[in-house]
Amino acid sequence: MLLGLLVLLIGSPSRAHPLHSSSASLTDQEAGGVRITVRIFSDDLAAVAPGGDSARVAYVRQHVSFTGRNRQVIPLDVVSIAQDGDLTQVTFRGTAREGLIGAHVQLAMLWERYHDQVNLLRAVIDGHTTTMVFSNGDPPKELK
Amino acid sequence: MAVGVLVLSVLALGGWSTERRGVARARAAAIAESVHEAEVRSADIAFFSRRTERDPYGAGDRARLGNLLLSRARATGRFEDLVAAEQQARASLEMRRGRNRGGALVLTNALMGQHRFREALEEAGRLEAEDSTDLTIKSLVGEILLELGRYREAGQRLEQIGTTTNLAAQMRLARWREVNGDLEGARKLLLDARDRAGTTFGLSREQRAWFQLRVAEFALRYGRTAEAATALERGFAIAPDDYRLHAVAAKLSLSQDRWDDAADHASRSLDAHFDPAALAILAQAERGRGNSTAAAEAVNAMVSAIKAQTGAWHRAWSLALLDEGRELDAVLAQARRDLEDRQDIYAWDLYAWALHRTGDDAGARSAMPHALATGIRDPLLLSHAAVILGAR
Repeated sequence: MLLGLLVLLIGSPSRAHPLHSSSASLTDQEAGGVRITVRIFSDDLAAVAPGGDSARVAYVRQHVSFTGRNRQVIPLDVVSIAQDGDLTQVTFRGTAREGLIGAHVQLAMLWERYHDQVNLLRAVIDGHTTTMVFSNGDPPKELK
Repeated sequence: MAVGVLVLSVLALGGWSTERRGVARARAAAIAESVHEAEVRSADIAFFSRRTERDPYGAGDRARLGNLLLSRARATGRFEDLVAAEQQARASLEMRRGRNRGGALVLTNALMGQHRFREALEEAGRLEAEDSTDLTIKSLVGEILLELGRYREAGQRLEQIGTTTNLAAQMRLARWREVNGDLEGARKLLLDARDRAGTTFGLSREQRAWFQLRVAEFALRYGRTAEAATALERGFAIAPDDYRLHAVAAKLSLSQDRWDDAADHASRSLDAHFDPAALAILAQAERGRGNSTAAAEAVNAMVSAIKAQTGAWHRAWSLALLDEGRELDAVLAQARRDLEDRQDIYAWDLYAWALHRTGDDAGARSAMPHALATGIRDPLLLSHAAVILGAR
C-alpha cells in the first residue's frame, strides 16, 4: 500500500531539464551584524568552481555583492561551508555599520552558466521579511 | 477590578507565553524528526546504491533504490530523482520481469511523476492483467485514465472500489467523486483518509502531512477556508518546512488579502523548492502589498524560468502566464499540444482559457463545454466558463 501511495504523492511538473535556481537567507544580528547563507546545487557549483571547498567559497563570495548605504563594499567573512543533501550551503557574516536598511545586495551565482538562473534571497530585518528575486542581469537591490 | 483584570491579563499572557513556547518546542521537534527521516533516507539511498554497484543482478535492490529515490522526489520536488528512479526500475525489470510488482510500481509512479501517462498506463495495465483484484493497481489504473481524460474506463475501475481500508484507493476515489461534481462524497472520503492516515503504521511524517495538504487544497478550492486553515495548521505541526503546505498556505492568505502572510509563505515554499507557480503567488502578494516593482521582478523571473523549459509546461505555469498576460501565443500552442496527448477536463479548460486570452472567443466557447463535461464544480473552471460564455 505504501508504494501505491507514492504516485498520489508526487506532483512534480513535467519538464525536460531542471529549473535553475538557488536560494539564500539574510538575517540581521546584533550591532549591525548580518548573516548570509547561500544554498546552491552542488553539481552546479562544482561545474563553475572545480577544486574543492576553498574554490567554491571563493566563487560564491565573488558572486554575492553587498554594499552599505554609503555604497562601500561590506566585507563578508566565511563562517562555514557544508553539504546538505544535493546542496552546498555557504554562510557568511559581515557588519553594516550604518544599518541594513538602504544597503544593496546582489546574488549573481551561475548567471554565466544558465541564462534562466534565478537566485532568491529571503531577508529578515527587524522581524520583517522580504523576498528578493534576482533574474539574470538584475542590478543590486536595496534592502528596505 | 482593575487589579483583577491585570491579574487575569498576566495569567493570560503567561498562558499565551507558555503556549507559544510549547508550539515552538513542538515545531523544533517536528523539524528535527523530519530532518532525521531525510537523513535516514539519504543513508538508505547510499547503502542501496553501493549494493547495486556490487551486485549486477540484484533486481530487488534496484526496485528498493528506485522507491527511495521516488520518496526523495516527493519530499524535495527534484525532477532528477524521478528520472533516476525510472532508470533503477527499468534496470530492475530488465533483470526480472516476473514477480517484480515493486519494480513495476516504481516505474509506473516515476512515469506518472514525469507526466508520461501513456507509458505509465502500459506498465500499470500489465500489473492489472496479472491481478485484476488488487485494489491499489485497479485504482492506480483508474487514476491514470482520469489523467488521460478516459473517464468511462476510469469509472469502470474506480466505481468498483466502494468502502475500503486502502488509503491510496480511497484518495483516488475521492478525486473521482470531485471530478464528477460529488463534492460532499469527495470531502467525506478525504477527511476519513486524512484521519486514518494519522494512525496508520509505517507512514512517514511527510506522507501524513500530505493527507492534510490534500484536505487543505480541497477545502480552499471550494471556499471552506476555516477547514483549510485547520488542515494546514495540522500539516505544519507534522512537517513545518513542507514546501507544498507553504504554497497552499500562501494561496489561502491571498484569498483573505493577508498579503504579508502570503508573501512569507510563498517565500518559504520557494526557499525549499523552486517552482515558477510560487513566484506567481509571490507576485500577487507583492502587488497586494503595493510593491509593484517586486511583483514585476517575480513575474519576470517566472517567465524566464518557464520559457527555458523545452518540454511541456506545467498547467499551473500556463495558467499563471495567462493571468499575467504573458507569452499568450506560446501558452496556446502548449495547450493545443497538451490536448493532443490528454483530453482531460483540465486540458480543455486550459485550452479554452488560452483561446479566450488570445482573443478567440468563438473557439473558447466551443472548447469550454468539454471542460465541464463530467459535471465538475471546480470554481476556477466555473469562473473561466462564466467569463468565456459571457464574452461576446
